[in-house]
Amino acid sequence: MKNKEQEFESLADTESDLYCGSACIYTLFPIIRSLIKCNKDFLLAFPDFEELLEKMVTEDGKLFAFTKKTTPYSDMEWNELIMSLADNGKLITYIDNLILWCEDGFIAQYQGILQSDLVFMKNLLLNSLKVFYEIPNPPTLFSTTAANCMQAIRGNSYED
Amino acid sequence: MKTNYDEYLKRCGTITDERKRISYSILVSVLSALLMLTKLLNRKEKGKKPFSSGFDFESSMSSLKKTISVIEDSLTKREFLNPEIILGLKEASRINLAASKEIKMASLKEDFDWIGSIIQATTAALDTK
Repeated sequence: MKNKEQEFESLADTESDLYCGSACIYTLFPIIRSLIKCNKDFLLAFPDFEELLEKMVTEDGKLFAFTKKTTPYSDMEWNELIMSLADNGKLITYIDNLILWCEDGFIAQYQGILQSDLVFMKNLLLNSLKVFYEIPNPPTLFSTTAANCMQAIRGNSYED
Repeated sequence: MKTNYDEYLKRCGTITDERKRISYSILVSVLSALLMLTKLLNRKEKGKKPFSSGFDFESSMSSLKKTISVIEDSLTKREFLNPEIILGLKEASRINLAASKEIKMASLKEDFDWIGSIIQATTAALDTK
């Protein structure tokens, strides 16, 4: 696992590129570690959750930068954007399912935090998608990935 | 920070008593939101449109730093029933709300909303014991 200390400290640094999306990811690391300890099946249900979180710490800034982009996208930039969207969609689905996983017992105490993170991450992704949908002639893979993201945002119905 | 974050995470995966481990991990979680709140307050205060005179920036920052310190002390001692934590979190929630009222940008307001909801969820989780 990657050393997280430096990034964690820079959450408070006014000059760092880390904002609430990254802080949101950091609220999840301790919960995941605890749940792994709690239930051996956790890693089967949520493989590579922590690795995904590690990737996502800086994805927030990347997606935000794409929403501000005014020049045409190169193939490489489209690929980067599509991969970032896919990771965001996957994380939202994971958190959504994790809320159900934490329904019973003491771990239900995690549900409030997870629910807050879920709502926040869904809003972030939805706001970004609105910008990306305006880009003319996107590659097919973008449309498919964006549709999957919308499905992830709709998610499990209990929150409505 | 008083203790290395990686050390906090390591402990989240090693404390055997489930209730203690859950309290511990919830407190480590909320630290991220509190650190981000100090960042947002600092940026607003040093930016083009600082807080109005109705918002006491210095006292708010001092209160938040104290709460972060109290939480870290509790993590070190593994004493999670410290009433200072709940009081500190309630004050952090009040500061967050007061700061949010001075923000006009919708996306930044959403950031404050998220911080507020994490603080409230943490307070509720710790209060149920």
